[in-house]
Amino acid sequence: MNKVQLILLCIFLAGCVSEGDTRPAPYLKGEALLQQGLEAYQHDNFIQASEKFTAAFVLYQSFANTKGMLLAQLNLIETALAMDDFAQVTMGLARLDKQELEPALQHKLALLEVKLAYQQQNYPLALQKLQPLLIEISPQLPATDAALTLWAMQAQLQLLTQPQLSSTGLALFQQGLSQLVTPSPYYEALLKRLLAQVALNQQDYATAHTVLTQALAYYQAQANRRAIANCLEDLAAIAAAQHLKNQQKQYLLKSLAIWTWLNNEYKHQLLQNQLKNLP
Amino acid sequence: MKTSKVHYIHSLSYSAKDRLVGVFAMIAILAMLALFAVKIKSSKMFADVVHYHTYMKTAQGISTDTIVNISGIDVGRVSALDIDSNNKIHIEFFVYKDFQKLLRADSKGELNKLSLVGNAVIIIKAGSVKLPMLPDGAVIAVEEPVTTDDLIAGITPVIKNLESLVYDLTNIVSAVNPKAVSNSASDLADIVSNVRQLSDHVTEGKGTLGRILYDKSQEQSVNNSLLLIEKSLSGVATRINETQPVIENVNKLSIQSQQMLGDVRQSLQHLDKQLELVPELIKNTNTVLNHSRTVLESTDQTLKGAQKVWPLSNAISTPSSDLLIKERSLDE
Repeated sequence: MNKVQLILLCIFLAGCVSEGDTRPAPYLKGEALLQQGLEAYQHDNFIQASEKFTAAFVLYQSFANTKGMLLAQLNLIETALAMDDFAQVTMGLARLDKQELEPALQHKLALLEVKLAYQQQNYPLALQKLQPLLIEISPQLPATDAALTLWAMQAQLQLLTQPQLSSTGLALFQQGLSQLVTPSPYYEALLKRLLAQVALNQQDYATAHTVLTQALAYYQAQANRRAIANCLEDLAAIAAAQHLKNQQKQYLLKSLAIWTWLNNEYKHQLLQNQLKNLP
Repeated sequence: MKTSKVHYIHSLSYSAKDRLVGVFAMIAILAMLALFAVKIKSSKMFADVVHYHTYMKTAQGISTDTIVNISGIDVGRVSALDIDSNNKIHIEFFVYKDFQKLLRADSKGELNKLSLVGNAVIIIKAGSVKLPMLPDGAVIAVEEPVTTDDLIAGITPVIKNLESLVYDLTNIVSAVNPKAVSNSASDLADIVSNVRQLSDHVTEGKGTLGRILYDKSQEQSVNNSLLLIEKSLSGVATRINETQPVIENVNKLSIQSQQMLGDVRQSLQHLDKQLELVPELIKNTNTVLNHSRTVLESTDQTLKGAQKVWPLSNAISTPSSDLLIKERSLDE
């Protein structure tokens, strides 16, 4: 058997893998644009992600593909949220054709509304919008990623709105985590952040600082910029509660550098205002 | 005092001078006559000619200067053009007597293809020597060239087709999205780059294909493997033949199994009672499910990785649920 026959054999074998994707090119192109947008989002390149999602939306619109248009729009809203561009988020939500949303996409939309309220620091509204989603999950069943995420959100919002009360969301989150044989480090870091908030509410600053530093170490290992910046802001809040102005300033400066890198003007302005009040 | 030398002309008599002038004039006249004779000979002005006739529908490009050519030699010229009683163009041309032997009974003429744009030449095909020569005054058939009208009539449908083609092309071009073309070009550039990298790897003998192409031992190994596959396939064929009786037995068994289904129904009724114990089992299953989930997550990552590798990457379509940004906590 010569080389040419071998190459032909390889090509034939490759052809036997499975049937190729025979959908029309616009579908493939649309999915490719969405994938490129997701990739850019994962790399914190929100501007590029926004461009890709917009291009995907325009493409899907060109052949009236409602599902594709909705996917692109939801991703655009989430990207705008990542940049704290509330005007864009509000406009995106207003333009969304909510009648066409499937249950899964409705769930996603509800979560985006929760996030918007949270990021605008309207915690009671965020908690109110989260309630319908919490009804859908049962603590009796094995904990899923979606359930754990929702309980963590509930816990976070409860700890912010009712600092004196114990959080039912935190209890459910801990219970869900205990069911897992090997809990993901991601959820463990999330739990540490919640525990830090509990400790901060109880004015146990040492514990709050310790657990939050542990969570920060995980996020740094993952290079999760937005989580790192938020952790640093929480550490600054702990330092502020202890009147450690210099330490607070250092944390805020580090966080500011991250938000600047992320082109987040809202956070940038917010931290600049805080830093102005520090010596 | 030095005496100056006088030119010899001054020492000649008048009669001598007249003779000298006469000689010069005679030489000049003789030279002129010689040149005239050469010109007459070369132009065959007084050569013997034979006249022939032909009739054509159109005399496009033909005039009394039109040359008659046989086998690449200019052998004559058109001498007269007029219209006959049938309104056809009568063309009379002559051929020098020396070339008459080329014109035979089977000789035919044609007008050269450039007659449309001038410089018409009547080209006559030399005839067979076995046939008789054409006599003076004979008619030679000349094939007429394509006229401008014929050409235009032929080209018109082509132009119409071209017009519709251009219209279609315009539609196609207007339908092309420059941005899409730009994106495609960009994608194509990426693909070409990837292919270049791939070919570089193959050339360097990297990867399976590279080793197959450039590594002799690998080639031998593949050859051996293929021989083994061939043997295995022949073995499989034998086994398939052997399984024929088994399949027949299976058919019999299926008939028997229908009877057994009745028994199974009874067993299922017993099973219903046992199901009351299931909740306890579910609790134990939770632990197993957690283990399975970890394994599934790993498998999912492995599959996603595998899907990015050619040729699986172009065979597996991406599920739409993966096209949304993954849900994270509030602070991410």
